[in-house]
Amino acid sequence: MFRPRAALLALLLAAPLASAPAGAQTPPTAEPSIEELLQSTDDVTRGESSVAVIEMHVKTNRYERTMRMQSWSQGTERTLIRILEPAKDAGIATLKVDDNMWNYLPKVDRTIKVPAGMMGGNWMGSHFSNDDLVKENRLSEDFVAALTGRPADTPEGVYVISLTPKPETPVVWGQIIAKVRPDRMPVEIVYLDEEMAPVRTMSFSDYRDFDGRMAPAVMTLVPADSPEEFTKVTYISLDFHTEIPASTFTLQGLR
Amino acid sequence: MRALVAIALLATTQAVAAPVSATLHGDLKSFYVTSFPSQWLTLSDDAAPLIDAMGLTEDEALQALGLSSDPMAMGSASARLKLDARWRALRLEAHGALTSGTAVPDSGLPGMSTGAGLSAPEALPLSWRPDTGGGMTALGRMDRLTLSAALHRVDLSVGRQPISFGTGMFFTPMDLVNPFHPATIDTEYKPGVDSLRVDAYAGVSSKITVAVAYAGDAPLVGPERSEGGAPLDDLVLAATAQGTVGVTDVIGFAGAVHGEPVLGLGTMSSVGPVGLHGELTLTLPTDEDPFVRAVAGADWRPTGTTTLMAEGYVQTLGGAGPSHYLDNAHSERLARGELWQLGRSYAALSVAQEITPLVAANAALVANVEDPSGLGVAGLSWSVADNATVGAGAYLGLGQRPEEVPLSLALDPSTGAPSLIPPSDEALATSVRSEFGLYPSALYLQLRTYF
Repeated sequence: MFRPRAALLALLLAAPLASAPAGAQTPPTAEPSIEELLQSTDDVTRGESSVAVIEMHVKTNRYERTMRMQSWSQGTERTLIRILEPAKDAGIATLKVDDNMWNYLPKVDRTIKVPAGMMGGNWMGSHFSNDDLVKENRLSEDFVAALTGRPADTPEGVYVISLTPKPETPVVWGQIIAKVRPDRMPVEIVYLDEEMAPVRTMSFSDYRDFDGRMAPAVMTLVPADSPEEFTKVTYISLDFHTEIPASTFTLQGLR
Repeated sequence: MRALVAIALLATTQAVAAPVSATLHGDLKSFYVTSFPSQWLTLSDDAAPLIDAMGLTEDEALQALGLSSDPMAMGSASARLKLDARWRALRLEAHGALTSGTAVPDSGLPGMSTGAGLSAPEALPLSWRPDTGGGMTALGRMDRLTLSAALHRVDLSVGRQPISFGTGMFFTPMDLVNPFHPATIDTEYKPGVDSLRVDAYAGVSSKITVAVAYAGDAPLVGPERSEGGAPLDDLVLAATAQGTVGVTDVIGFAGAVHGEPVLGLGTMSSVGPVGLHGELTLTLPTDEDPFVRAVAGADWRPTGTTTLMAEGYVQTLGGAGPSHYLDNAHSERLARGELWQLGRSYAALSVAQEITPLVAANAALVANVEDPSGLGVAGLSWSVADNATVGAGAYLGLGQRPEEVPLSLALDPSTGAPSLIPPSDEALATSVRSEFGLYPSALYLQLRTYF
């Protein structure tokens, strides 16, 4: 009777978002290769370890909701999420280690194992689907890339890269168009369906120095069919250098 | 006491300059419940003289039994204030809860409640009942008061806290400390019990938990207690060991519940997209035959918005048929809430459907497969704001209703007071034709806000 979907989906969302932008550590070269640009875009949402406080704001035509959570992550394999707000869900925690996932419900003192099959659906009414959050496809490895624009050729002064999924890549997109700044910070990723019609756009903004590393503090996802709607993820804090005790990613840390 | 000393010693070793963090939250809830009990009950002719002798009308007599044929309405409200303070490895959690409501006759069916204001045996009397007159009830309770410490790979906690064991959802044989009844409307908070708990961890998901919880009839201190400390019969002692093999969690359980040894095994795993869980307990009473309780269940999310769950449950101590149910109803285990089933074989099915991201519906059927009878549950919840939820739902008792019950057989022979379950009354017992046919039906509306 206790299946806190919020906690489960929060994990799926926050796991990739709470990681370090490893690519930002490398000084930009004069003319980055496509691979370097894509690796930077991949790694802006992934890294070795991080501690973050994240706020997610969902706005649709019918409602608005805001959630705040704290996350601890090591790579993409170990993540602990604890919901801070809203108050009704505060304290619910989710732990993911490799293929195992548990939820902890403090109000009833229950630890519940979450099977992989329970990970479907959207995250708390946001525009993120669990599928695209939980899957670990990399633009630099799972797509065929072509450079279609350079900073001198585009009004935004960015690199434009068209990406077509490789036959073995299990995604629903027909094409992805990524825009990356010369300093390798991603600006925008547009997802197109198989008819090459835009489905949604992820934009990055508010680039900040987080603990000595540059990263976009805000990521906004807008569906193409409802451009007035959005889901905005904001890093309130992002720390790459805090040593995370090994016990964090255990049932002890979960409780 | 030793646990308190250990935690105090730990506190003195911590740097005094460490910052204290504290959060204060709370919630307000209100419930409106209308029940439709016992439309099936009619009184035989021999009841009239007894009713007259009691100075009651027939309706009043039925109402005194909790079997009025008239719908009953009640309202209740609860408030909970929650403090969570942390300092280094120490944590203090305190919840003060106040619940008030209109006084209604007992339904006669233990376990059915709104879920607000649930209580538990107290070693220290930290509850109070204000005098609200005859038309209202009120209960104040310190529902959490826990001091805990994280000592490397060991967590130690002492005080009033919720304690749960096992993996079952509808049927919870391993959860022997205040499990929820399936007809509890609000299961958000499990009542805190006065206990000492130690959790020792190894690796990612291996742990051993040892807990001692007080479950006696009266507080250990105060005027209600005359014979000193708690004997073993007043305690629940439990130890569990848990580990993970692949994607399967395995749990071993050993304990003594009110002096009765209990052994158990549990597991949680998955096969493809289907989650699986199960648990089994063996209880070894000293004055009756050993008995087994076992549950196995599966859950599956066929779409991103639909969750299905099924459980099967058997117990060997239940009544072999409806005529034996009331024998089991006299069980202390039932009175304590450790179990609520009167029969032997059960199944439960549930579906939860997200209609919109803010509106969710659920439906469930908990069935005694031998009667056959069932308890139907349906609910709808709407998240009207970040911290506000409105819910509505219904409970429906399904099954053959009891035969006509002579009122004379519904009187406790020792007191003469009306009682649904008078001791050793075979005639009344034989009138029962199904377990959930005894259950009333009810509608509810609940509002919940958080801050």
